[in-house]
Amino acid sequence: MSAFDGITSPAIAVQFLKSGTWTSVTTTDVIQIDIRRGRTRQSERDQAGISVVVFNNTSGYYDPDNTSVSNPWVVSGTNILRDGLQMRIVATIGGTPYNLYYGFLEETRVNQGEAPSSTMTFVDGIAYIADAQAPALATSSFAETAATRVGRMLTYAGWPSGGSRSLTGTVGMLATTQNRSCMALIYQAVDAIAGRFYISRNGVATLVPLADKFSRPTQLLFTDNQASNTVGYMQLLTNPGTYYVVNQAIVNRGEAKQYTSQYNPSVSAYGIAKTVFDAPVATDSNAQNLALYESRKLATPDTYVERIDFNALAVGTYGLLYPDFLSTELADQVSVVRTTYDGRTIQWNLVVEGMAHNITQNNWMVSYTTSAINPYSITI
Amino acid sequence: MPLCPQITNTPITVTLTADFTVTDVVPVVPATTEDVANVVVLVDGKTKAYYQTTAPTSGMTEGDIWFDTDDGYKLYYYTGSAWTSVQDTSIAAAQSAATAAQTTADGKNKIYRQTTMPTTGPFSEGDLWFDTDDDNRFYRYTSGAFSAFSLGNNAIASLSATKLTAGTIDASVITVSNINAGNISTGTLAAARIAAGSLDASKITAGTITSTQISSSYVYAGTIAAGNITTGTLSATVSLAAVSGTIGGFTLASTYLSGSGGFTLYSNGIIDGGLSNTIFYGYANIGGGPATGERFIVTGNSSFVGQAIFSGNTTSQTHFFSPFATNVTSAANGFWVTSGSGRMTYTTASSQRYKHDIVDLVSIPEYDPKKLLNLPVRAFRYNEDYVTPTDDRAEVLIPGFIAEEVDAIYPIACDYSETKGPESWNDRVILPAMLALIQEQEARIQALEGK
Repeated sequence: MSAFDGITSPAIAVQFLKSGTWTSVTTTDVIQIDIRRGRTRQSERDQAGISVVVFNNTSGYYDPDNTSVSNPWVVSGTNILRDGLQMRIVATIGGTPYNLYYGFLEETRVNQGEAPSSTMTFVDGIAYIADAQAPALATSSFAETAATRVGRMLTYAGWPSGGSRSLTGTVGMLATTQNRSCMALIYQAVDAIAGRFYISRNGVATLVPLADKFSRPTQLLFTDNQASNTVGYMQLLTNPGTYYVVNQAIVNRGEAKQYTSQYNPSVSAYGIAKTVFDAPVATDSNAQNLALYESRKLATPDTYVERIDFNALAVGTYGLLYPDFLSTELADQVSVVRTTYDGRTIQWNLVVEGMAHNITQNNWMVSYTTSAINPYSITI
Repeated sequence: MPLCPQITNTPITVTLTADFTVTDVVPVVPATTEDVANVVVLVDGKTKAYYQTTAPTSGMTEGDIWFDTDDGYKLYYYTGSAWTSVQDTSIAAAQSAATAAQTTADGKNKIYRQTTMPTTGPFSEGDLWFDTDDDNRFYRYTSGAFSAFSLGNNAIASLSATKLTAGTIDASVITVSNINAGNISTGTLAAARIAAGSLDASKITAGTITSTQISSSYVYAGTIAAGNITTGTLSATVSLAAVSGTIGGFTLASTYLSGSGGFTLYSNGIIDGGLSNTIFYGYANIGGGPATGERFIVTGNSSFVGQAIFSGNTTSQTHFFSPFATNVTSAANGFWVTSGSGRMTYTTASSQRYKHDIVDLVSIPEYDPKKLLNLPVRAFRYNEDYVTPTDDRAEVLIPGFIAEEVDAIYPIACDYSETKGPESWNDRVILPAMLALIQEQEARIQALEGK
């Protein structure tokens, strides 16, 4: 990453966990890094984060079949570049490191041609957890909170405890016989609290409740006026929001009861736009409140910025904004101020739904997928 | 906190209003295909159940069931052509396992606990009988009879017990690492040796401790009551408090140490009398060393009482004061004494008995009396720190010589300090030289007068 000196712009390092120690890959061996995390719209689930890293393999060090003793990734005769290898991508500015991504090696493709390269694909913990199945129970058991249930699913999946988890969700859930994938049961908990589940940039399995959206920081302000402490953008993609209207929500509370809520003004304007939630909450009142919330949250379309593209190497042009940029996490807020050609000033307040980085030796492009900040809340 | 302006997202709580239509239903859960296939419907006249000891032979239709009442209600299912056992296979497995377990149990040795020898068998080789009215004595069935036996040494290789109660332990040797006993009661504890790292006892009461040696760095005792303590050295680092008795040839009293013959007290340091008087009575000889540096020094408010004798040039006075003993033993240097009236008297000796190589002064060139003609005769005042203000000579011009000038002109008449050089001039040298000069001038005068 020749353009990134760690002082005027962050230094980027790809690190592998070698014998329990994070060990950096030679910087000049990294040809390209792609990172995608989160989701493209708020109505979707957070997807497994993925990172694809292309290495210059003239050294042969990035070939998993290379067990030469001179290969730095060979430990006790075994090449560690195998499935499940833990990796992270770290950006360091002013001596402070920030993780951009934390994942596990899933696939390696080696190009043994005249320009040898190795392309490694890494996935984050959601892919890891998605492979696990919650065992069937003879009788319905575990009437518990959403956070407890997610924690239990993580345990089934072999996810580490302690600091690798940050789970918040106090809504009670019905007992269950399980017999589904761990991720399916986690999504039930997410729907029960109208929250969000993702793997943080530090590799922490994170469950946040509905209330979390009212306490998130605003990390960046994108403008086109070069004002102090703002970031310039390359492209804004806006969306009128009508396509994503939801005005009827059906909440399935297991086999106990099914609640349907419909927001009639929106139905009158746009027709019925329905979505179904599998949320086995413990009480009828919570199920009804969930249905109300989900039928109202997106019932009125708002124009919003769907995607912001910007050059990360220019983040520090109008202020010492690299720490804020590098700290930005899924569900954090950003805002965009745009002065139109006809002189109007428009501001969008947004939630970061997903983020993508494309990093080469000389360039670093970032895209945030965003949605409009949603003010609706319920008591559950 | 990030540097950019913070957006405040104010919550709007969604509540049920007229804008909403809310419905709730209990969902219908359809049966699965597999469940439907396994539904068995019992209909009168279609399927029958028989309870009897023999298999029904007529009137059966497919699906009928028969409980064989004399075979543990074993269950059969009529296929349309025959009765087929549908007994739960796990029951048969359990029966088989139980039979095997019974067989195994029957083959195990038995243990009898009773007062009489078992007579009702069958017995197996190795069966045990505890004779409960004979303190549970062991018997083992072997060769067709129960025979008493004892546990061998290897059977009790290690005996781990919190308490061992025995009237008597009859053993030639009991080897233990620790005997923790509230009391060891014995007529005699006969031991060739009690080897103990420490014998910790508040009191050892013994008529006699007979020992060739008590080897100990210290013997701590409030009292050592002994008719005799014979030791090469009695070394004490604390006060040896004794007001009577004898040590060697000396008799101890409460305030003095006396000897029947001569008494010699050697000291390389100081005999300190403290705040009280230290008095030597009788014919005490106090001698310093032969060298100048080994002087006998008396400091403080000390006195010699009575007839004190100082060896060497013997002198006897009624009262005597001296800061340095060497001045006492050297007749040539003299010493200060007090007369009976308390005045200071200076004295020395000039007897021929103390002299040799006696010649005329003028025969020695360096002692030429004419040199004195060059000696300045001065007048001066003493410094304030030399005489007290009340002294008659204080701040008064005094005639005399200067020792440094005497040293330069007639050095034999100069007295020296050990560290400061010329200190005084000696009139016992100056006067003879002056007399020689006068004699020489008297001779010249008489020659000039023609006598």
